[in-house]
Amino acid sequence: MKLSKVLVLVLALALSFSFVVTGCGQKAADEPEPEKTASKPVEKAAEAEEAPKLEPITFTMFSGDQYQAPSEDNPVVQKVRELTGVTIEFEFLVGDLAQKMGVIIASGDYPDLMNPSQSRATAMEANVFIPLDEYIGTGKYANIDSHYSPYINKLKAASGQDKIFLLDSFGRYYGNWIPPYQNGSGFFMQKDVLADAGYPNPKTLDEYFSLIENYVKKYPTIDGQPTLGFEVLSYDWRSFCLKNPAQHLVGRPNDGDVIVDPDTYVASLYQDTDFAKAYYKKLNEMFHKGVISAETFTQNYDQYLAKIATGRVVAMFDQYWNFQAGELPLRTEERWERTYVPLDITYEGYRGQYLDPPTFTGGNGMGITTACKDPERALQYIDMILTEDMQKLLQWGIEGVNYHVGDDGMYYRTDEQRAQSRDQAWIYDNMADQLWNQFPKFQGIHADGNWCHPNEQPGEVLAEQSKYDQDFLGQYGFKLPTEFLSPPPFSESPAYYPVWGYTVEDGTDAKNAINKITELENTYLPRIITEDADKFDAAWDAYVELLHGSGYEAYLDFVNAEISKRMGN
Amino acid sequence: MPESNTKISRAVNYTPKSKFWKTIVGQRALILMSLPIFAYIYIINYRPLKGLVMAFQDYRPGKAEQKWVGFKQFEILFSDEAFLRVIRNTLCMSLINLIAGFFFAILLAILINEIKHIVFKKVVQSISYLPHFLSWIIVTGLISTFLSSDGGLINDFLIKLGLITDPVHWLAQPKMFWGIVGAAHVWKEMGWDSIIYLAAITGISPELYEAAVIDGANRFQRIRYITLPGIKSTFIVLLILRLGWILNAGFEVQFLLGNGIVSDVSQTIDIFVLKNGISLGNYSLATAAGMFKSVVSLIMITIANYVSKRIGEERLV
Repeated sequence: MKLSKVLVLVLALALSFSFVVTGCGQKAADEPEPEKTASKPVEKAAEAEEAPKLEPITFTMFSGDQYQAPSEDNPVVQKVRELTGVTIEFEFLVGDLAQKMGVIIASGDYPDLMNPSQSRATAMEANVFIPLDEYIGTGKYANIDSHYSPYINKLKAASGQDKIFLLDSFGRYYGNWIPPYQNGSGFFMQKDVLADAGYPNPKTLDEYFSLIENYVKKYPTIDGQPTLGFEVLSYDWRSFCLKNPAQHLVGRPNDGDVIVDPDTYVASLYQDTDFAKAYYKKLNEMFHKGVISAETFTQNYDQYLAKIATGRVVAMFDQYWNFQAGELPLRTEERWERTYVPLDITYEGYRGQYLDPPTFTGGNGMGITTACKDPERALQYIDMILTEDMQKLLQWGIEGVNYHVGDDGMYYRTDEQRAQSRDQAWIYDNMADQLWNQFPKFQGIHADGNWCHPNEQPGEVLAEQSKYDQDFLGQYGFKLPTEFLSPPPFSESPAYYPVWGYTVEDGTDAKNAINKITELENTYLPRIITEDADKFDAAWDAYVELLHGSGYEAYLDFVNAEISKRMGN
Repeated sequence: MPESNTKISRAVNYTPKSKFWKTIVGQRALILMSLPIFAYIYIINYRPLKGLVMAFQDYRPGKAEQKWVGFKQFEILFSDEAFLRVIRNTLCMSLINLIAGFFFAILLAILINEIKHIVFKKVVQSISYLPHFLSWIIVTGLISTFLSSDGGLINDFLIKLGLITDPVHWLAQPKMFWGIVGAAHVWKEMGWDSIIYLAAITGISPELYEAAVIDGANRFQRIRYITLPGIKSTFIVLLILRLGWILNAGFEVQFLLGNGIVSDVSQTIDIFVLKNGISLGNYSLATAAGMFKSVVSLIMITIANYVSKRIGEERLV
């Protein structure tokens, strides 16, 4: 009896070991596969030097963004594969980016291509990417060359090593582009507040808040729940909703933690200035009037979005992409009066600069890793998708299926096609959404007058507007919501812009300084805003003293050096 | 194999060595069964230990050669006001959890023990330990909903009672934070922790109670002179175990309930390690902080064990 028990145990152990062994065996058998495919193009290359190589090849790609890969039988993705021979195997981020990136780097197990997203500093410092300098500008990849030629300096500056590691996926605009909707910063307000007050167009902070105050007084509840006057998201890195307004109020664009003098291009802090103080003073006043709830400083991002989705948040400062997910339910429920418009709010005597002209960030894109099985083929792939035809395929889809061409050559979609393009599940199955999103792309307007992305095509924008929105904008004589904002003052942003896109390397003095500043601001600003009115000044002074003693100069020095690099000095 | 061993042991009668092999052979089933556990402990607990060298380097991921810096990371750590603050927070919250946790668990165990109605007793016991199986993410979600100043249960209740007129922003009060965390721990773990005391109480001989009743002891006297001394050894063992964890005040609760306004009192060592190690890429500093925590835990558990031996109670090691 006893012996048989032992036998069973030994057998069980042996069995489990054999599972492990066979598991490894299968993996080992799989591994040589990519190498085989990788060696193919190299062999063929000797035979035919000129013609582009189109043998099937699969590149693995990790993206630090949280999306979903297009489905396998997706017609547009299949068409791209037919034309290029390249299959992209996506792995999107699940969980925490810094943690995932640490694991990738520590293991040395890189994918072929990588979009490091916010972890770009870590990835570049660990030399995950191959420098692309020797490939770019040689004429071998003509489309890549012409796409990036105006921004080579920015591409190099982004790495901190004077090398090109990442090819930006966004920000390369063609044609005379004006954004049809505001994706960036603004003091947003529910349309009903403006409609209820007789369609005013507030321009100053005082006007803005008095509209909110009156509305909250008039309607203490919305759909039975308490009205929330003004939300200040201050959670984690999204605390820009708390801190960024001050720079916009004095007519500057979004440079993140610093403000840059438009004449001398010298950066300075602004969270210690009088104009910042005036803004927080206003918030303090609104807090005591009950327009701002203390809840807003303790909520997390999901709770914030959930509040917006109930339709009872009257106004907030935010960037549209950041609260878009909260507004979406309001749109699908067609509660248009609860959706938002951005307003051109400044202090008296300033001109708002909420709308950015085309801006190329630098460092916000994808790179080829040192583990890539065929870097030249990867570059050839990027080169091939940077053509007008391929871009139309990626962004508009297949002609006759996803869009039609009008008599005037302008593209349009039918109502059915528009409805499909709003359905995320349908997009995964039928459009090359992420192939477009993750890789370098055209933005703006094509040479034939069609806009690169269907959602920006003027005809489409107007056709997508609800009856409510048309009437609402009509009251102001507007066609597009961006007309609330002053048009961009330049046709293109200065070369240094934007400072928030700069890569601060881990472990440097500048990084330690910006961490310290951020922590101070995130901790003290909510306290100052919720402080008793008569203690406000004292609290502010205490905070400014801490800020000045934080060693912030290291960060400013870094930023100013980077600015002059980008300005070509 | 077993046969050859028995031969050897027969040949060299009753030497310590043969005894050793005899034991091995005799317990071969047990040894085989414990092998996976050893493998687990080796892989999960011992192999990562070599990562501790990071505390003495300026570690940058992806580099083949690391720079050795001696005790620099520790010097930075102990001159950093923020780190001293997180030590204070960790110790205070840990002590609150320890004291409140023991008090309420023992109280609950005694109360449940005094219930005579068997069905009611079982129901109370089951319900009281259910929260143990909820993860902290759910519990903190519940807590922040209850404490919300925007229609939260607690505020509504207090307003209805007329105790306050305006909702209190509980989670935005630095003074309240430790209390909230302590209460959350008690709510979640009280029932679970009381199980072991209930078991210990069951082990007390009923004759003692009977004798006490004959002597005229009332219920409170029975609790005071029989139940409490009866669970003393259990209490000491658990206390030793807990003291080793004194620098583990938890991570999820503080991380999920904390916010900018209360960050001075909410951050624990674990949050400090996470923030430095993962978010800021200061792996070496984070390792140093983690190492400090482990060393203190080791010292604490040794002291507690020694003290327990002195006072003549059970020991762990």
